[in-house]
Amino acid sequence: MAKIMQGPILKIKHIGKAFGDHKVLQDIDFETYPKDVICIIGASGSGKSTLLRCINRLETPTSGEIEYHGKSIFSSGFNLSAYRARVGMVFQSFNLFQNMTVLQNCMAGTTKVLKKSKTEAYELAINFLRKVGMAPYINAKPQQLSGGQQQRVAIARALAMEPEVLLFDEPTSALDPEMVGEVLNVMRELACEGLTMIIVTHEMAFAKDVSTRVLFMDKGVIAEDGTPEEIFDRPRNQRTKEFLTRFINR
Amino acid sequence: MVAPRSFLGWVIFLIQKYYPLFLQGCGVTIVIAVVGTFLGCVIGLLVGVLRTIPKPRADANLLAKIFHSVLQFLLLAYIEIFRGTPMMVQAMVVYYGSAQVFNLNMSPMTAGFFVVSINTGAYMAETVRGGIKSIDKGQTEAAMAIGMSHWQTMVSVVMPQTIRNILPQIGNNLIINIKDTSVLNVISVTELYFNGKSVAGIYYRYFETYFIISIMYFIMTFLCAKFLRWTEHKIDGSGFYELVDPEADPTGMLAEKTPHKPAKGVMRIWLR
Repeated sequence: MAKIMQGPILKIKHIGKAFGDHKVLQDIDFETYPKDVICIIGASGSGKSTLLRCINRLETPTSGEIEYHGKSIFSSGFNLSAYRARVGMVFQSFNLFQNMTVLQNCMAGTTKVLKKSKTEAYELAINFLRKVGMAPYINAKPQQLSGGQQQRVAIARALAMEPEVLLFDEPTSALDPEMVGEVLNVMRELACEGLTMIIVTHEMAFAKDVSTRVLFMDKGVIAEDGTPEEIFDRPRNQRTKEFLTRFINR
Repeated sequence: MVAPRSFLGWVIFLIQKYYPLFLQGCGVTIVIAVVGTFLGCVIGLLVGVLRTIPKPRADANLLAKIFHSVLQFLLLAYIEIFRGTPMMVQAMVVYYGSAQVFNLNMSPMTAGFFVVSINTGAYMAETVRGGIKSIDKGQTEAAMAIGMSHWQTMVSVVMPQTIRNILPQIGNNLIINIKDTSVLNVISVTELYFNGKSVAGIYYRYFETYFIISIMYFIMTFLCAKFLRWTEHKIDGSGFYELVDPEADPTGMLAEKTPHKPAKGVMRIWLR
């Protein structure tokens, strides 16, 4: 009940996205409340990433509406920069700024967007770098780090903004199997601490473990929506069943 | 005066007698080339950035669309015209044209700076455009995703990487400019070629004189090439990083220290 009193942070209302005749998303509709950990699963090309990119406004949906605390993020007076500072994003390919060190990466947003002082930004950066276990590497350049290390820095960079919601776009898909664990552990910890997250992932065990809610997407629509137990143990939809069987038998 | 008889004798004789002229020529050449390349880069960066502005969307207002097309047309015209005509001809047109049409009494030097800058700018604009396009889209998206404006993204993420990537091309332009300032002799800029021509004419020793100035050109371009490589190396920084103990410095001033200063310096780069 507390959830409903606080109201949703994000309200995704019937959004659709088409590239020409190709419909990538159709009638996607869900809400995100504080402390939700929503995992979005589904086959490649089912529109998961596009959905996430629409939420961050890296893409503009062709129909529907997204509301942040009741305000449309597509309205003309909307402060996009402030919104993006509150709704962070972690990418599949890390996208750390190549011209900056680890520390500079984690201070760029806080100093340039949030206009915090250097000392304050340093404190934040080092604090979150310590959390992801990358504090000793502050002087390294991104290309000198392994994929797993880069992704952990990218998470610290997003956390340094002290976001309200963090979006993860297949954060472990570009990693070697042995590096997947280190990134998932960080994310698991964040989930335990109550950070609101929307995670697109192919890590089923992780999704089952940490999420409060799972969305199964198929061909641009949410085919099934429920608790992890409902989705993984008692899937009702035929497509969900097929998808999960394939994953388990892999 | 006893005239020298050998080739080497003439070379030494000409150097001894006319070294101030050669050196002054070198000075003018290098100043025009460096300043011209620098201003050309500034023009190129500006034009290159403007050329990457995306087309306004179909629903944008008409004025914005017209402004965009006119601007893009003018920029493209500038690039094509100055890339497509010889610098020597440009020098003549600018120098004599400014006096005749605009009644501007431009000194040959001013005209020289102007022509070299504007010419380099046209080439650099395309280099910059390519450089910007070569930056991974993910870099821009990551910058946007933490809330940076388009301008902040450009200044702190895209441009530093672009400039690093196009540095070899800037070097190319500088070297080309050192050599190509020789065409400014047609408007009597007293650069190395012009002075060399004057010296050669005194004793009709063409081979010896041009041999001397060819070596001087080579020394200048070679030093510039080395300097540029050194700059690239500096920008790239060390290939190593040091692990630090963040607990050891709770004040946060660690960040101000440079990570690692390699002591190897200039010599090693010289030898590469």
